[in-house]
Amino acid sequence: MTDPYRILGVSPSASDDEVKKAYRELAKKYHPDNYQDDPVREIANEKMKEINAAYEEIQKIRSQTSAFSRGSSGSSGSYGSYDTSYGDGTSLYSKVRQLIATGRYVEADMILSSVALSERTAEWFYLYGLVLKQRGQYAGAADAFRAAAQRDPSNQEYQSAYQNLKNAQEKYGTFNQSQTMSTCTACDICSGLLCADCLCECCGGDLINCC
Amino acid sequence: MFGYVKPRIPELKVREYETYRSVYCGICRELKKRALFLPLALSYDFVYLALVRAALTGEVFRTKMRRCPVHPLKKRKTAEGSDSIKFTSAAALILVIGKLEDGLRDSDVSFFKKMIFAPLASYLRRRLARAKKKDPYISELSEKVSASLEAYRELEKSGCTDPDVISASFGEAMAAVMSHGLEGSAYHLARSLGDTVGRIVCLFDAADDMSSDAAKGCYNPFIAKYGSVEAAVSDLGQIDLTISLYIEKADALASLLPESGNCTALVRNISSIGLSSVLKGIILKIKEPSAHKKGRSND
Repeated sequence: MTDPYRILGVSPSASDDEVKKAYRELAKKYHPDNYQDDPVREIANEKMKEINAAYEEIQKIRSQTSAFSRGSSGSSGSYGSYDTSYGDGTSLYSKVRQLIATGRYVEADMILSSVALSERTAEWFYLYGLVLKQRGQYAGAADAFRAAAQRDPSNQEYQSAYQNLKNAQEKYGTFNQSQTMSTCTACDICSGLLCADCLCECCGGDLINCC
Repeated sequence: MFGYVKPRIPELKVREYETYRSVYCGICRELKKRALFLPLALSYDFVYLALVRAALTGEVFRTKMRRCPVHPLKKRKTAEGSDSIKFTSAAALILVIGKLEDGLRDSDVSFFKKMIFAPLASYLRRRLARAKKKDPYISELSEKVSASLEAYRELEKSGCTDPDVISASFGEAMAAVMSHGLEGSAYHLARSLGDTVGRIVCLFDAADDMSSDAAKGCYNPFIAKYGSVEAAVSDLGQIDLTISLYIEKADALASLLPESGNCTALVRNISSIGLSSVLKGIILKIKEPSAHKKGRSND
């Protein structure tokens, strides 16, 4: 199905007022009354239907999303079964995980964006990172995964997700661990022993008898 | 345009390197046919564009030994009569006009530079109008690129603080250029590759020009995100990580190209280790500005 936001020409993060304004402007533009006795009347009619359907779709999605964030019960539709335990956000996040698993990233993004700033936990950042990564927004994804890993350092899932990102950095970037780690090789041990032997011989002793 | 998208030459086979040079010379020759002085704007990025188009269409370059004003003594292999190269020269003309128009609008560009840019832009516009009459696809391409670049300028003007968003608008311009006129899976692959490499170029430029943009007070995506150069430099690891992720995607997309010989191998080299070594150069330049006067250096 076509993205309803694209039809109205607004971003998914647009406020309700912005969506309404965009809808009104388009409706004014494509209203069939403007095209009486015009051969394009039929096309305008089709376009008007499309705009109406997109606006209704957005309103439907938004009412469901606000039901999620309010934690209210009794809303109708396919999300009804998740209404009972939104207080801690657990079910909300399990729904987001389901959406991510089925590739519905725009909806997942919208649900996550509706969570208030103060209620954003490590899990929120982790899921938001997953959504952004799938949508190809890597700067945001990198920040979100780091925030999740920092907020809950004991969580293996968040740590390994951030580490997975860092694998790309090790391959293509400059900040790889192998460059910064100092290693001690067999060669270093031999040269160290030889130096120690020389110093001992200078003082009259001997560390290695054979040389 | 920027010259960041180039191969890591030590990793190329000799025949691949020869193909690369012949395409470079071929584009230079074709640019001269489009307009005088246009070869001055030739960059590695255009060679990448021609190579991707050739890899997707399965085109094989025919070469001839040619002398040119830059190499008057020794003849060099030059790719000729190629559709990919002709397309690239048209795209280059459109993009160079866009860049000159940017320069003319920019308040930081000196008056003397504008005195040079203005007649040059009007001359190139006339050449573009002539090219549009000859090849109708050029006018369609020009419209697409202008719309994408306009969106980029708007975001720049509004001081966009999200590097993903600003780089996406530049990626859209590159995607439009790279995929123009292609069909089916080649179109989709060219679009994705163009989008990803466009984003990388935008972020490379942002990272590379952080200090100079701060000094001039120009817009820079990373300064806009972090608030200052110092804050951006202190989080350099995250910038490096972001660009690395985009390079990883470009590498994955390049691996989907059809196996069609030298062009595919060159595109894969550029999209992975080529971009990676440019990134390393830029990051090192930021970390040690004195030791790396030119971050774009690539061996």
